[in-house]
Amino acid sequence: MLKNKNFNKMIFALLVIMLFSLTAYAEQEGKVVTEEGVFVNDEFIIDRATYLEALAEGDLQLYTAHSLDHEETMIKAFMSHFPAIKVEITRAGGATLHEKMLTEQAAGVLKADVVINSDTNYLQEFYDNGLLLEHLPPSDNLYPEESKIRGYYYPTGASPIVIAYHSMIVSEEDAPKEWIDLGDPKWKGRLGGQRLGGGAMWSMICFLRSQLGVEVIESWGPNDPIMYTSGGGLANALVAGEFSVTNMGLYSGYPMKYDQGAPIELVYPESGCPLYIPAIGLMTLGENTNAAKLFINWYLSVEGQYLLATLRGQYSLRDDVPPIPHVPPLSEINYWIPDPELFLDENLRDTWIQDANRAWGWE
Amino acid sequence: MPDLSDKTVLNSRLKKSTDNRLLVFLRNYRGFWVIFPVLLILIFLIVYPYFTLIYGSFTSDPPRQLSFSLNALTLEKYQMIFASSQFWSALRNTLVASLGGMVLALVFGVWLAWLTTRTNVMGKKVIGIAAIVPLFLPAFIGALAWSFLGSPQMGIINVFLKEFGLPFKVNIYSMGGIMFVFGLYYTPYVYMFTSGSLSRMDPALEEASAISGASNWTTTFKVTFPLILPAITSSAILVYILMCEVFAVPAILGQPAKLYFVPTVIFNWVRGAPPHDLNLASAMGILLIFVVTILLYIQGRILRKRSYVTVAGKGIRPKEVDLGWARIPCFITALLYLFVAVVLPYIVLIQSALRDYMYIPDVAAFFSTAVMSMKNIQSVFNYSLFWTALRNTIAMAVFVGIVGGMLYLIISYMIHKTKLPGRGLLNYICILPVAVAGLVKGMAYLWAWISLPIGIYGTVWVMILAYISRFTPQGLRAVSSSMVQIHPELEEASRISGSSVAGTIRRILFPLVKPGVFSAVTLVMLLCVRELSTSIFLYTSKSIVMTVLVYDLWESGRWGPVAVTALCLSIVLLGLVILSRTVLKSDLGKK
Repeated sequence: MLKNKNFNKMIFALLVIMLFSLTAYAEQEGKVVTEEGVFVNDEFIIDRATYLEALAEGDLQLYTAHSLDHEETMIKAFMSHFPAIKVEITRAGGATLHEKMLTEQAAGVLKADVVINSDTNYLQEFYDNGLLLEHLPPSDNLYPEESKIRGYYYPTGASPIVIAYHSMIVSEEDAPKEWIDLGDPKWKGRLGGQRLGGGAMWSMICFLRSQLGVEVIESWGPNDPIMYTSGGGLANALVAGEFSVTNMGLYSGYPMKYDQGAPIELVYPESGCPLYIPAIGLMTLGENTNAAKLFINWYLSVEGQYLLATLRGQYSLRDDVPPIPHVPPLSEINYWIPDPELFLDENLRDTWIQDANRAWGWE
Repeated sequence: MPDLSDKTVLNSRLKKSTDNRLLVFLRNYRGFWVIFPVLLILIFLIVYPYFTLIYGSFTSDPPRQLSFSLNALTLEKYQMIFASSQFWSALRNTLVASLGGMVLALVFGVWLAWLTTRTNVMGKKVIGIAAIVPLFLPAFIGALAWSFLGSPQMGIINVFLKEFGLPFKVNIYSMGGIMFVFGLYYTPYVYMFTSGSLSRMDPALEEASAISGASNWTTTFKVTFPLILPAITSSAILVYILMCEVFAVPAILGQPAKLYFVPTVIFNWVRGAPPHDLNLASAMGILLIFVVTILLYIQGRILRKRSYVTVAGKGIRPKEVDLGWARIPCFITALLYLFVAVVLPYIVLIQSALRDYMYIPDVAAFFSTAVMSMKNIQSVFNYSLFWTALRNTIAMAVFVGIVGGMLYLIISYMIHKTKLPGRGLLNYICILPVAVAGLVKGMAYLWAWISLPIGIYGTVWVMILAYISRFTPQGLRAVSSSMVQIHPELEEASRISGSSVAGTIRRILFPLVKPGVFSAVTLVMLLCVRELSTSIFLYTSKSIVMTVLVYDLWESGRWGPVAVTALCLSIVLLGLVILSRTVLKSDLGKK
């Protein structure tokens, strides 16, 4: 048993520590708490009342399809400003994550506060079923209309699908410049691709078929493209020289080229680069709604967006977020954001992907 | 005679007769009450999740809630599967590649087991280690390493073959390549199950054969191998089934060659390729049950009416075959296996861990240190989830090994050493997890346990239970291979000498099956550390394990950190084996 005197000393010590922590926390670089609310690098993040409620909640359940190491870095950055909020991650690939969430919801144990999925279709399904809670982040106006459902889900970033080639096997002159060039017979047996189905590959098929015509897709078939099960596997195989050219998301090629120095080059075709856009939303069934709002607002802020862009090799769809090093500004790329009606049409998606699978001999 | 018209007496008689019937029932079926708690545990761990999965295969919507309706049943998914040409080609590829892989695993495994247990071959300890080291590498990593070694374009083996002017090429992206990798990575199972039987054999028949003038080789092929037929058959069937359900090898080595297998088709359906249909995936996943049933029937026919008891009351020491001049060449064959199955993949992993990127166009690049650094190692060690995953993996593996080992021992005793009613049922239930394709097992546990109001979902406990359930067939097989070899005469002698059942188990049976139990503990620990497909459905950031982390890194295209993590995983596995050998005195090669 602690004596009363010791107990009082302990309480005093704890108060001093808490005070020091709070001081340090208030002076955290870039973050300011005023009567109006919280600002990070002068950008308004959240009003004071919600902020205080978020601190009282203290926890956050994040369900994400972004990779664990990227998400861990994001959470560290978030917690450097808001150390009182502990974030727990549940991570899986887009479809697996969605199934897991639906099962948890049916069983009444879904506690996700925030969801990030690589495939917007899943966020749309949640929205249609009333599983997304309305929340208007302060940066709402800065995101293009076609990339969001206002007040419900927002893009975490955008990664153009580009052409990539092995720079030690293919010379710059020989390299393909346009999507149609991948149908050149000289790439027979030297063309790689990722298994179709996920959000990134659907963005690509959607673009090729609706903007350039089915002929482009069909022209690749005779080159007998080699298939890989994931974007990561595809990127590794390109670096290893298993094949010479491919189509891939910038998110796979960028870290390979600029972080690891791998011999690959990225080409942004003038005919267009479809954007692959993961999205973030607030769940109705979560128990930490205010903490979730704070997290989403920070995630969509300039600081959050730039950090995520550097980690994932992508762009922010906010104009005021500077582009990451080495890549052209988004304004210089002929990028393409799919029309939501087209992108969210599941029957069309199945048909077009199956057609592409057939054309590329992947059935 | 009592007056039967007396109501009181009549009632008393009736009551007595009812009591007697109850007593008779309890006496006759008291065994059932012994088996009942175990049966309940197995129903919870195995029957219920797999029933949910089977139910899901007969419905249009995933069974996400704890409710079952006969009206929802439909054969639609099975009709779709049978009408799909993709299914038939995938099934054909799966069955053929597994058959080829099984033959190779049998040849390698039995050969290595025979060398280490029944011959005077040189370097027995090295061979013993070589035979089980491939277990330290998850099939997923092994297949990735082999894709770097044997790819037709830039495979390291082909780079060396070209350098030396040799006119042929290795192509691991082929049916032959997949069979080869299957064979390499499933050899340890065959080795484990056959070496134990070989080392515990009664040499009387072999001696009789030798006295009759048969040569060493004739005795080996006509007496020794037929005697260990149960071990060979069961290990063959087990590895065949495991090969049929494994996803990583055909996905990594088959898809570039457009070779589809049942698990890769399931993967595509689960992961969202059209048709994204979990019920279809469930139906495809449980189709393996039919293959397993046929195989078990064949096994039953082969083994029917034959006794394979090899540990009897008298002391035995099987005679070693003198290999003579062949001692060294036989050792070299084992070294070759070690080189191909272990050394080559680890060279790739070490190279990958130390390189910024993996591009080896020629032999000079292979030895070049220009792009080597410690970046990958630093990035993994600075990754806080790596340490969480490491801690969870070790803790869960040890816990599952010990608790699972105890459960498998009890079940094995009930099945093989008692006449309890319902023991046959236990046996069938325990086979079930191996009969369902790995990729849909995770869904089964998720669907089944999530709705239960016991609060385990989202904790490490749900993963622990899933592992105990998932590895029941392998764990039970490991314990049972020792259990069935104990002749009843040993227990009978103990009972005649006045020992109780418990005393007989403690003093006679347990010491004899102890090696098998401890090996089962070690095996289950290894399998837990390597497990991916169930964990991916059940983990959270608090219960993350190493294989999930490796898979996540791979999906992000970070092959260097994957290699570092895989090497750490191998060290964990090696550590667990050393721990088992030290603490439990278990030897995976002496089951």
